[in-house]
Amino acid sequence: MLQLMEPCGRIRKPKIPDSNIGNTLNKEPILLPSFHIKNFRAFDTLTVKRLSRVNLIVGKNNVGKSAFLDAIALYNAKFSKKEVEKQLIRKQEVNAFSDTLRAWSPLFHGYNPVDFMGVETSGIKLSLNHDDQGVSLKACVTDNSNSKSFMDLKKMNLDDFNQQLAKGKNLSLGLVITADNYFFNLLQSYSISLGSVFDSIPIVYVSTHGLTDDMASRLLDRLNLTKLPPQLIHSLRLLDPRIEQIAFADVEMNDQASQRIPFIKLKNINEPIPLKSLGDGLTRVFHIMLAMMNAKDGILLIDEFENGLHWSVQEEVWEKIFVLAEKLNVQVFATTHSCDCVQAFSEVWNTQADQGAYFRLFQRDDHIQVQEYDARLLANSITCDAETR
Amino acid sequence: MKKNPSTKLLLTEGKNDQHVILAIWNAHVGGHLFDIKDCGSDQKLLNDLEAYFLASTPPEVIGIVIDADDDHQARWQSLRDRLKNVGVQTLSEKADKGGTIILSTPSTPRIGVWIMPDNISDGMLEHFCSRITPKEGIAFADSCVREAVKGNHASFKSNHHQKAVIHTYLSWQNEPGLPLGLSIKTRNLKSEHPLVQSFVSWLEKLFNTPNQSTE
Repeated sequence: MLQLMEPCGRIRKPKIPDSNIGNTLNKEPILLPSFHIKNFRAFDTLTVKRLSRVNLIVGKNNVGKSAFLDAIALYNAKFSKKEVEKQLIRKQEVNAFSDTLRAWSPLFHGYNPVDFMGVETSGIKLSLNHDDQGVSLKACVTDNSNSKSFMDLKKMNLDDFNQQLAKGKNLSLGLVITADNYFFNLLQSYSISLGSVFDSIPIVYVSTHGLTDDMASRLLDRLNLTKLPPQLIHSLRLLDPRIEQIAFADVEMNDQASQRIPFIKLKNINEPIPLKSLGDGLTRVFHIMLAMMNAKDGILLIDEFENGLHWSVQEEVWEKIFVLAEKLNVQVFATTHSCDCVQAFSEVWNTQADQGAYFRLFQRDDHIQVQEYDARLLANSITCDAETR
Repeated sequence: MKKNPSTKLLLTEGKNDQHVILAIWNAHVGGHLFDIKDCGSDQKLLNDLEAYFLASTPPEVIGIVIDADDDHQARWQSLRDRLKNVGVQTLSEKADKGGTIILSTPSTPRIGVWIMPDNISDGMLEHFCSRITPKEGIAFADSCVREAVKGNHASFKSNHHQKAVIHTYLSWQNEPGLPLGLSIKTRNLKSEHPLVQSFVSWLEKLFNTPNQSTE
């Protein structure tokens, strides 16, 4: 017998309007309407043509979702030493090399740890689109006797370099950052970061594992000065309606050390309770919302959005994200593996026309490619059970 | 809980198409070779085609059976445009008389298209069904329908004329009121007609032959 398939529909649960969120319609353009990556990590060349305010990225393990988030952070930071080192440490790519070129070589496409000189010498470029100058990072050769001159490593190949060295020329390898018509040779000005030359846009990153208590406490302190916390409490109430207040306090762990951890005040219970004791989901929402509020007028990056969150709350959390992103003028980039998360995102996106974007990264013919979705295609694919991740 | 996705899938516009095709298949070939989905409407069918085609794990074969309606060439062109949107350039300017098949590539599924009734005329499933009924019977039913219109007993839209005709004819067969799919089963509709043979051949070729890449 052939199998017959019914057209399927989903029954939406009725939405209770969020009266705490104001009705501001944000007309400000988003920071990154599109994004182009060249020669960064596993990416050979990739263009995402349409980004929106809230962007969800999917794809198999190790395809490059987190690397995409890293690329955005690097573009924003214009390859600042601080940001690069943060990323290298996160990936445990720290080594004993003292020269910056070797230390930074894992960022380059085609990097081979054994033969690091095989890095793609046409450099990394991160930009809004193919033609835009964007921000680039290239390996270069500097003539130490004439500190003003440097040339692309490509123009002098490594054999030439070694020959010149052998002849006694005083050359060294370095890195050049180019952004907004500024050149910046890391070898010469390693103590200055380009970040101090340009206005930096706030960018907050919530990793798979969340924020450290230290970071969370600093972010909360910043918020308390600008009067945003009622939104924070409201978001936490999505998971536990008894929550009245949240604050950090010192706790003595043992005789020597004390630690600042978050405490929750619940309705009808006098004694504050550690946030952690109410489960990982609550901590996750706390971190995401804290980060969102600190990313006002900037960018929020969330890796593995769904971690710790039960499927039943994901739609409400996404709704909060869409609304707050618009209200606070934040551009959000999140990654996920979870189909519940994708489904929840799709439900909310289909009620917030033009505020969302969704794309899948996948490997084909040795390149990472992208499949972009519009809201209708995503909703329909989910209904059809056509795999979107 | 996700069920196993179909690897061989036929998309149809509605329940009648779904059941007629099922009945024809069972009458001629039988066995579970592919899934048949009722997409609900022609637009939803085209949306579903896109969704399945672009999935990260698309089916091996996607077939579609869609009505020509009032302008078969316009229908064909809109299909071509939809497929171009997802990167399939290879749909020819005209449908094949025996049903169209686009071969798979390493990154895309095989696609089959049948435009009801016969890939070259305007019309819909009901025209297909009318063609496989005895000529005199259908001609008589047609005259009855026209009389009904003349006598102001009818309210159907003019482009549903063939639907009215086929259901009139079937209402005189055993048993009156059977849906189209069951009428095939009970042999009220003759599934030995060459049009049906052609349709079955297309289905077999589409879903049976092993995967090949484009020549």
